[in-house]
Amino acid sequence: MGVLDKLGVGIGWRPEIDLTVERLPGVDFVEVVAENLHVEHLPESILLLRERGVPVLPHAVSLSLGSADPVEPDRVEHLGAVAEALGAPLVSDHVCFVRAGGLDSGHLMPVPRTRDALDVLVANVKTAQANLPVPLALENIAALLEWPDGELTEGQFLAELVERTDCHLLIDVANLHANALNLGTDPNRFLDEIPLERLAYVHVAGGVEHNGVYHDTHAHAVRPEVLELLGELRSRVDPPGVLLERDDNYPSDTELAGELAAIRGVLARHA
Amino acid sequence: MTSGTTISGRPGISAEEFGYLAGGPGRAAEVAVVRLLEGGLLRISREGVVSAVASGAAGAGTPLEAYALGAARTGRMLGDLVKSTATSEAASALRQHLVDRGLVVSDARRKTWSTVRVLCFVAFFAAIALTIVFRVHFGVAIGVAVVALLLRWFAGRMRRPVRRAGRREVGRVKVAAGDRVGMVAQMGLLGRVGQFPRMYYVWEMLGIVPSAGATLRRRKPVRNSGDTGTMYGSSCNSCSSCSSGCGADNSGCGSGSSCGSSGDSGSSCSSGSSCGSSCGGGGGD
Repeated sequence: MGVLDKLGVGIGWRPEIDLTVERLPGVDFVEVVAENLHVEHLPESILLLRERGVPVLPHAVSLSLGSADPVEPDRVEHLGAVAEALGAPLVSDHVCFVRAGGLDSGHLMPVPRTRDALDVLVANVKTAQANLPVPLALENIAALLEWPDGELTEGQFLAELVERTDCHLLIDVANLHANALNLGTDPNRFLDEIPLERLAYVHVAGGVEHNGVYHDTHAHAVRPEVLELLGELRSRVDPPGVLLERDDNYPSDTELAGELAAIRGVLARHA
Repeated sequence: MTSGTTISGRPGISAEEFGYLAGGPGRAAEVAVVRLLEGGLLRISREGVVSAVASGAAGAGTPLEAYALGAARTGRMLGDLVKSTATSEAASALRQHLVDRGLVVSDARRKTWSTVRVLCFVAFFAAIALTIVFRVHFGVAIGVAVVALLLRWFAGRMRRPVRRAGRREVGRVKVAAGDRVGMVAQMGLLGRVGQFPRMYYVWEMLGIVPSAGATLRRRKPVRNSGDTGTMYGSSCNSCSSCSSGCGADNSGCGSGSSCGSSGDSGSSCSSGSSCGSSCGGGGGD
């Protein structure tokens, strides 16, 4: 896996907390939302981190690889350009669709887990891979619904996707927790079914449970159950990297450092 | 009202009050924002976006800080946040508090003296016109003109935003070394410290990155002496106090030279006519 052999522990870089990210001790890598960057005008903070040798991984949210429509070349081209500008070893997006029939959902929508939908997804992923300069990793999403007539479990769906496209996996343990609570899925079975040797890195994020529904807000503290799932994953494989995502309601530097320390603690305890 | 922390350990005057007296509401707003930044209740990004730290909701020590904290909830550019805070009701309340304490001149009093200045101006030219047109005795005309000028000068002093007691308070404050909030109150974020050629902006001393510091703007001139904007130049009408209260924001005032582009009428500091609205607290607006 080359440079992904060991990414370490990182945090999602966001403009609001750029100085915090720069100052936090022991940040081994960061992730940026690719759509928010302009290749010609990369943020000073990102350039500074690159100068320090910190890997910066572009994370996309708009390729809509699960759409029945073909992938939009401009979006793939932008993602590739960002990856090249940052010297990133890989890029990522989600197993989802965000637009259909010319309309944007504004959310990451789950893909029906049917063989037909998988064929469409595989075709789009292969198109994207052919136009990207670096490997592509795909992330499991937190879904509030499941389409009917699914033929595969989420783990089986991802395993077959990896087998047919040779893509990497970006596993979000908070999304696993969300799906377990909201849809009744079994995270352990998911971990049993996916090819962990293709794991690029792991996402950890906070959320909140409201009226029996878990909301993957990225704006609250990481819950102990999510860290337990990270421990479960770590007991099966040593992930190249683990990244904390926080997108709003940013806590103090101390609290963010505490969450990163908690992640390191889990990784060490389950080694 | 809550007056906040005292400045450099001096009882009786808070950092915000000192900032207001030294540089107007913009300076007081800067004090509030910087104290929140120093306390970790606000954070600032490289681009100058100031946002409230999630856990710091209850940490505001003054109404002005509470306003700034609330305004930064969704993220505001540093310059915009200071401006918004300076024009908030909390800033007006702080001003009224200083008026009640006899440290700042009320709007009504300032308007009265402004009117007197205008009348003196009219009287001066009327005296000259009467001499030329109606052959009024030259000595009488000269006497009226001199009295008008003297009264206009006196009215100019009387309409200064900060009263003598307020200026005395400012003079008594000795900002302790290492008092970062006090430094802001005294000089403003756009104030300069150090000796040439090693001079630095106060915001640089605070560790604010240049791109964020660039969001700070010097205050635009305000012609209407009755609005709160005039208070920005509280200490500038007297150029003797410009060196500390205004020099931070308008070096032209400190030297007593023309306020130039920032002066509302382009007259000089020594006349006391325009600096009041063009200097001091400029960093905050």
